[in-house]
Amino acid sequence: MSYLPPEQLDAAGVQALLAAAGDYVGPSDDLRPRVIEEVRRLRSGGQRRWRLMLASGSALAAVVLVSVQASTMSQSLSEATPSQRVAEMVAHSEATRKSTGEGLWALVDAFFAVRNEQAEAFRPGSAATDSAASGSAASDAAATEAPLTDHSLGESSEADAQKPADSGSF
Amino acid sequence: MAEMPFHDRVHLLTDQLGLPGVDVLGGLFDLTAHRLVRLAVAITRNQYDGEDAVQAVMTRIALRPEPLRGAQAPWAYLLRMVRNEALLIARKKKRWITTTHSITDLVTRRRVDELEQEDTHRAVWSALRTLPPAQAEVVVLKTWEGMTFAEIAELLDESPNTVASRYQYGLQKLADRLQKAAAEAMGERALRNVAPNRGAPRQGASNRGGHR
Repeated sequence: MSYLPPEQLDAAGVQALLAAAGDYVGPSDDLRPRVIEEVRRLRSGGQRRWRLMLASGSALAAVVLVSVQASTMSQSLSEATPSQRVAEMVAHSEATRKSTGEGLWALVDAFFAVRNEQAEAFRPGSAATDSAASGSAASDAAATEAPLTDHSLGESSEADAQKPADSGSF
Repeated sequence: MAEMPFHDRVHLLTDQLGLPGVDVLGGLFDLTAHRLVRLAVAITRNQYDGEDAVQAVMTRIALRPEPLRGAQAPWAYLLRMVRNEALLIARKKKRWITTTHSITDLVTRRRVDELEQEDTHRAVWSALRTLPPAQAEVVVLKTWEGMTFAEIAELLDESPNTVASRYQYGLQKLADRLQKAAAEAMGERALRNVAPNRGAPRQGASNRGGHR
């Protein structure tokens, strides 16, 4: 306070002193580069974070897609009967082989031929099933009667054959 | 651009903030940093904290310029942002803030033709730092930003009467402290004028002793 006497320090005097001292304090020289550098750092960090979020989002979407597909496939497999499951697997492998261009069609054809025969054989009302059923019924009847006859005959003949001997010997 | 009023220049720069390929932040900093740091230092009473507040605000508007661009009065909006940030920092560091008469931590600038007034400037800033932040910010906005009480009240979300009374109280305190500082300065000067007369014979005696 080198030039203003204390008695002149009224409101107007203080306002004048304040106005004159406005430019006395300011930012340091390193504030500008600090701000620019900080903004640059945050911007690059934000871009990196954005890329990271994008990559993790894509990975998450892929995982979800795969898990949904797997659950759908396992659900369809669990709902199917065992024969359907086998058929699906065979069809799937056939499709795979077709798509990959591999051979071995003979084995697949043979497998499907066997499957068709089995399906034909177990179909109700088909000839194979009837003949098989009648054949088995006849054999069952023969099995129930013949052994008795044979057995009785056998036993009687053996008894007859043994009787004279026994009687002869005694 | 040089003839444009300050508020229009701020408006022009804030309109360009965030445009791709245009680095406006440097220009906005050059235009406003001095005023913003002045306000922040008056509130936080500390150079580093004030600069931290300004840096935080500048960084925020560089990354998200939309709110500032959408403001009707960008300069008032910028002042409000810095004020809020400075208050936040001051609240966090409340324990470490001590009222001091020293301004050695402040970054000061003086022009060659103002060398004689440097003591006065130092006394003014030293007195300003002793004011409560609520009064200091009103004094800064009124005196250095040339705002009316109504504008300050809108910026601070206070009534104009409250703002005016804070300004009056602030000025009164500043006047008291400046009067004390002036009295102390006059007393020191008087002592300095007396001291050389008293010290001269002693210096001569020591010189004589040195010759021995």
